[in-house]
Amino acid sequence: MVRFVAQFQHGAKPAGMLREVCFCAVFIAALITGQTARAQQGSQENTGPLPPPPATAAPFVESAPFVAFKRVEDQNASVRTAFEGTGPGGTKIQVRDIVVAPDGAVQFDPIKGQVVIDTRSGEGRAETGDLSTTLDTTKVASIAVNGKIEVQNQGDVPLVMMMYVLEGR
Amino acid sequence: MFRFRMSSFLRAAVLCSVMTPVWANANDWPNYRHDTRRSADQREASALSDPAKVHGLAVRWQWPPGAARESGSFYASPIVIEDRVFIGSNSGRFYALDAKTGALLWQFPPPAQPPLIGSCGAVGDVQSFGAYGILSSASQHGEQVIFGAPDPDPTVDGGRGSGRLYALDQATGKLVWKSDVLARVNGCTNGTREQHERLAYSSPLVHDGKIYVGVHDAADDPIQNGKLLAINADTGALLPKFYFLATSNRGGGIWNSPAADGDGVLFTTGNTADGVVTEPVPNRGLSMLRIDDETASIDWQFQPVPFALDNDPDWAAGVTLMSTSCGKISASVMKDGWTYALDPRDGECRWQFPASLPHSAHCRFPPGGAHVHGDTDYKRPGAAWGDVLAITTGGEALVTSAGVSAGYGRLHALNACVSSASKRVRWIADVPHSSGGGYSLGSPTVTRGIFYIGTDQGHVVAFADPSVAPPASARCSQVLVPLASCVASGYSIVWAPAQLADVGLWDNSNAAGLRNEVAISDGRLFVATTGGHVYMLAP
Repeated sequence: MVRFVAQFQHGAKPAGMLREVCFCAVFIAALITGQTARAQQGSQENTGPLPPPPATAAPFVESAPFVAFKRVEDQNASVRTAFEGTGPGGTKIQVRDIVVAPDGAVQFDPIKGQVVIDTRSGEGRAETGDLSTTLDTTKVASIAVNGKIEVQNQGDVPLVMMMYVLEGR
Repeated sequence: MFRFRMSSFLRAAVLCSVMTPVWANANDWPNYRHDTRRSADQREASALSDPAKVHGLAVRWQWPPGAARESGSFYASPIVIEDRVFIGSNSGRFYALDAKTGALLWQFPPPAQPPLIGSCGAVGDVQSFGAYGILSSASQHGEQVIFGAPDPDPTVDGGRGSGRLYALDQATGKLVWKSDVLARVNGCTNGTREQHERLAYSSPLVHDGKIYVGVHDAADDPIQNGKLLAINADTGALLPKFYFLATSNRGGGIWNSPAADGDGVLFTTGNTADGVVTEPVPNRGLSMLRIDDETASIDWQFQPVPFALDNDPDWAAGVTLMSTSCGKISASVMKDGWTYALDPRDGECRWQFPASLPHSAHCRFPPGGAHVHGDTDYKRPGAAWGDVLAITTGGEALVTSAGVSAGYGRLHALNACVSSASKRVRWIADVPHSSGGGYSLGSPTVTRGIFYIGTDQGHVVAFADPSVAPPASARCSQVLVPLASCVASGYSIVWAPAQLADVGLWDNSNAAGLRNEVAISDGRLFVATTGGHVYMLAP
């Protein structure tokens, strides 16, 4: 290598050098072309969205299932009970995870007590009787309920909430 | 005539070899996450990219062989250059192995010399101030390998273990240079305001004649001012013009490996609020940033979690720079489990996963929000394969009471370019032989649609993208919602990918250390364990 560089420095034949540089340029161009071809081949891989699984696809089986959500009958929503217990004075306490689909709504069985809704994702509205409150991730809503409560999803992603239900005896 | 042509050919060959080092070794894995974009993507075809051959994957060698083990643990992962494997241990020793046989070629420092362990802490303690050894992967610079470690030299800060970068000759293991001190340790006492800087988890970035590395602390004791520094790649001298400081006082550590693709340097930063009630000004913590690679001036900063919600959701994973059909994307996950994809030109958020906030929020949580952003364990960067980002992330269940744990032990493949959040999830894989806790999976790597990942129970598992091999089954994109309720609840039915291989490593020890990844080179996999072994697997 040192001798080669020295030849350049001390005046090797220009025509020979030119030929070598040209050879080299062609070699490198071929390498670049090969790399580009490989990259293009890579980009032809199907990394775009996949077709959805058909209805006949085998359902995935959890090896260690969590407490799963259950669909609220005939409604575009799912619920799971994360916690259930009894507080001071026999107050019934329940913590529910609730998911309401975009443009969906869910109506719960009558509740008599206090409901606290901690919105974790999305935006919507809760209504009970004449009361109505917006739901979003910036605040926690506390609502006195004496009857049915309905929650509507007004966004384009699932509305996910934790609902704390406190019912007196 | 013949002599002339032969010498001419030889000269041209030498010239070409000098001019084309980058393209000569496309099968190598020369950096942490493969390349300076940190894509973790090996594009060269091999048996490891052939679904029909991956089933035959098996361990071919282990180093050290037999019942022996390295005296420490491997939290770093191997890099592979021209059939040599390079890796450092928390014992403070750096090794070169023969990629074909696993034979030890050399070690640094040589056996008769002390390891790269300072006096601040117990030997190999990964949370120590100066005795942590080598915890991050090395990087290639020409004929050298570069890595960070404490300096035990008693003339340097009393031998406590101030951090430097080391450059070694790949062929011989001889020291080429030690950098200036980049991470200073000026005392060894817990619970003080001493300087306890470290180069532990940031792999060096070799880019445009410079080497960049991040500085962070040890378990926030005390939280240090995050720094990104640059040195001359030929001499190791600190470049004083390039100096990024995350805050005006403390916080914003750089726990990850910077990335680059020609438009500045990208990286992420840790928290600033630890024990501090007043927000530092400026506050570059909890952010993804792009800075100028010459001056360190900030091109943009994206800070999704404000100081008011900073309960230590450090950004411990670095940036994955993706080249997709919808342009470049810089993606990463925070410790709290939320994943972000930004436009690297201006830092604008393209999407957040899960998509918890309204579009108007631009992926930034409002200071009064309900979400918990805590010290949890989504700390591994993702792998980029075209438009697909495979990453351990919280998932749709993150926003339920199941909280952060629902994503541990799973690999999510996300469609980076879809416009609808409901189509974000491509597939979800439950990784077998992992405990399911926060440190149960290493960082994924990929070659042509086949993804490899190490587990904390000592396995290497391979999954095939459904476009490469028929998928196993269907599941809901929200893992807590049964298939039958999935669409009605607003989620999508997605694939569970085919598992092509699940290989147990011989020592059954953890292959999911903080910076463990499965390197893919020339049809071979290389993975290291905290049990002190390096493995080569091949079909």
